[in-house]
Amino acid sequence: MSVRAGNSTALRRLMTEYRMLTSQGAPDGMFTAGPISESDFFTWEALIMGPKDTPFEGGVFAAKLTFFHTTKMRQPSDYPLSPFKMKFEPPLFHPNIYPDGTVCISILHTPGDDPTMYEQASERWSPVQSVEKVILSVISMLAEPNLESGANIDCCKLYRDNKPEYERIVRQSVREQLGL
Amino acid sequence: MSDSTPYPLDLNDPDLEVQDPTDFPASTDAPGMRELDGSLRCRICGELYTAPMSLVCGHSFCSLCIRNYLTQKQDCPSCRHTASDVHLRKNLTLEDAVRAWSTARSFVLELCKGLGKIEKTPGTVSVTPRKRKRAVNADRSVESIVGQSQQTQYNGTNYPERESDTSQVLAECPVCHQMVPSDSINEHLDGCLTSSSGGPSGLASKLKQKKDWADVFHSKEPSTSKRGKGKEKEKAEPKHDEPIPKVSYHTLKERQIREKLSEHGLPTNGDKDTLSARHQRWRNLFNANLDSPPARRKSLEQLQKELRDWEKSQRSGKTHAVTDTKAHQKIHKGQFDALVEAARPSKIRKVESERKDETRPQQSATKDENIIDIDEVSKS
Repeated sequence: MSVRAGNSTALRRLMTEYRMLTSQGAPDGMFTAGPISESDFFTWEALIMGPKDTPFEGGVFAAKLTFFHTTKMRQPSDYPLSPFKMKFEPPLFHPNIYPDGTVCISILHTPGDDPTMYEQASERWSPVQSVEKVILSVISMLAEPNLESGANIDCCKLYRDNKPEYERIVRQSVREQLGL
Repeated sequence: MSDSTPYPLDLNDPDLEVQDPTDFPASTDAPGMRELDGSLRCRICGELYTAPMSLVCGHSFCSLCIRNYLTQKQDCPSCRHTASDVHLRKNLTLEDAVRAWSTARSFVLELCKGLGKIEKTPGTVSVTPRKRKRAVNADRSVESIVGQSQQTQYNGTNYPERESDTSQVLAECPVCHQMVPSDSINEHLDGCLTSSSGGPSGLASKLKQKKDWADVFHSKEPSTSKRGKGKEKEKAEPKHDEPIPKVSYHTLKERQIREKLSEHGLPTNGDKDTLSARHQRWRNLFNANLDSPPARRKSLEQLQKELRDWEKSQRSGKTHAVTDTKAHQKIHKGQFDALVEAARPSKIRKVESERKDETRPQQSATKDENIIDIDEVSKS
């Protein structure tokens, strides 16, 4: 409790979240998340299981979480006041994931910025959110895409006009990722 | 590019030792313990509350956490109910509970761990001497709790008065239309009036307005009228036990913000945004410190150090100088080699073109040189 200035708040909070995730585990073991190396607590990796009864079922998807400042490179953000960023590496084919893999979800947007103009302030980032809650939201987003705020327009169109084809592409990419 | 580990961490640093509710066994072994520990933690920083403050909606956060948050956005982080730092109320009951819990935590933690052992081994004789030790500790913690409750009573008598002072008498500033607690309206008005550059007539009417407002508040609170007048005169001398009032930085000139900073002995370098951010952060640190009971407050020097650390962390990304050049060359050897490799063909071309120059007309040679220049610029 002694240090509260600068990014030590962010660091302590990330430590706490990591400890809780490791000792408690994710609900139903749906994902794991933690820093990539012990020397850099501001870059995390998450492994997410494809949710059941969706075309993503059976896949395991890696995402990078970065707790850095948006504009100033390599400067730790003022997490948890500001949210982190999440990027699937390799990218996932999904209406709400940009072609470069960056996740577009309202819980990761601060109430100030609204890239899609559809989001309600109540579903936005707030410091009481956490890595765990965001990843759980992303998992439910995988199951139920939100076409109102699309990030991958081609994927949105395909999902709307030809859902079986969308599901086929997703299933195929999951198989490819698993090396089948 | 920066080093691979820009923020080297010492994981044994005591400042990085954290606790969390999962220190306790799951609810099957110790029902409610994780929930109890979790309920005494601020949901912003994840630590046991420091000077917990309640919002109008009933949610509580550490004073500094919520003040820093409200600087960005005026709502409750949990439920989005509108909130403002003038509506923050100390939650003394919660503070007492947290203080007692932070004393009892390690004790209860060991009890919880011991619980499993006792159940497994029927012979509990070995536990008795331990228990006695605990009892001494427990007595001590009881004492400290008793001490606290006396303090609470003392605070308790003060508390309702203060509440009616600040929460119910909120006034709109006639100049900038901000909501300001009535007991700091005079200071706030002074700031607003001196900064707004109205004509002479405007100034006169504003001065009259100011007097009217002062009259309104003095008649309402006769007890504070003397204090209010005194405050105006002693303005240069900062009070160490009164919260810093809200400042609307956009209505102030750079010089005025500098004056405010120097009143508190803070650095006055930087542009207006830096100055405003510094004063804002100082106000959060200072006022949050006042929300702790006097015995647990930090010294001004300590607060100033925290402000410096914060500013340093704000800047750290901007200025990244290479200190160990040899190590830097080693780490980025691949990149340097690639650059050298990329530069080589153009060098060869240059040499070749110079040779050709002897036979070629002058014009084409200068063209070639231009191309090389551009190449080199784009690579560097």
